[in-house]
Amino acid sequence: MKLRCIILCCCAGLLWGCLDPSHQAAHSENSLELRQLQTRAYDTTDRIKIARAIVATLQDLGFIIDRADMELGTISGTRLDGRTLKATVTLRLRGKRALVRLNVNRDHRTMTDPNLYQDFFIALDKSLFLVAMQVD
Amino acid sequence: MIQAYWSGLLILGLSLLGCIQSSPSLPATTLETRAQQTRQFNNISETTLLTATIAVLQDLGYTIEESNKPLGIVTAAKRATVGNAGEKFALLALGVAAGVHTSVEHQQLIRVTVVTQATPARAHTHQIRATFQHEVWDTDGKRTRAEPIHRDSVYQDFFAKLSQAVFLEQTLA
Repeated sequence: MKLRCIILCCCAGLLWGCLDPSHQAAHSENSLELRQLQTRAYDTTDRIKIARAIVATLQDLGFIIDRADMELGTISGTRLDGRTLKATVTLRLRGKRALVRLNVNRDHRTMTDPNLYQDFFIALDKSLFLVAMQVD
Repeated sequence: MIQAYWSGLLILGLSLLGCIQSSPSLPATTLETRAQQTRQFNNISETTLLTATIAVLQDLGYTIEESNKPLGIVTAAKRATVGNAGEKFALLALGVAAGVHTSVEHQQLIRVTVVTQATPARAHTHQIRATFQHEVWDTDGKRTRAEPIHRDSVYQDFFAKLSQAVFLEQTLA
């Protein structure tokens, strides 16, 4: 009887853990492929030039610029097309390269469609006249 | 039999087309939109242009949400009422008279981003691009619209006011 109670309690505990949605606060289903899709490296160390190109690209794609912080290298924007699309672009220098990463969210969910990211980087390439390299 | 085959193929084709269309993408704005949103100012510093922009936005009742001089960005927002009270009252009264629940567009949040960029070929020449968008809510508090603003007069009025403000800034400087 006691053993049955202990087993039941353990099962309940395990189920509670599964049902508790708060664990997703520090968990993501984003895969390595998605990260690769979101990131490009550019052969430049001119942060202002890249940041200005990112701003121009976001605006050309219909985004309003919500925030731009050059100290931390983040630029965020919002696009309205019936629904709300949020984009965050981060810019980091690594050696002689600049790493640009884009995250797109709709209704607070990460968009995983490759087209979105390809469209952005094609537009950014044009804006920069630089060829981007994929990052592993 | 052949007709059924073609019908099936047509349905398949249409459903595939539906899939293609529903795939999200980020199309670049058209040349017309770009021209509508962009103006060029000569013999002016970027700082003066940004200061004039902020002054115009303040005059128009906007609150500045973000400004970044190194990147040449100003973003602002304002709430505004949609249409006039008389029209809205008439529509709501018509609904009540007809015995149906009616809601009309009531409030909107307008946001604008203005970005300046130096024109590489010419010294002291800057391009400025403004993008407006708005969200609209009805009298029930339901969001009815969330879209970019493409009305020509909005951009023409904004740039006309900006030209005046730039002139004032240059005169005062």
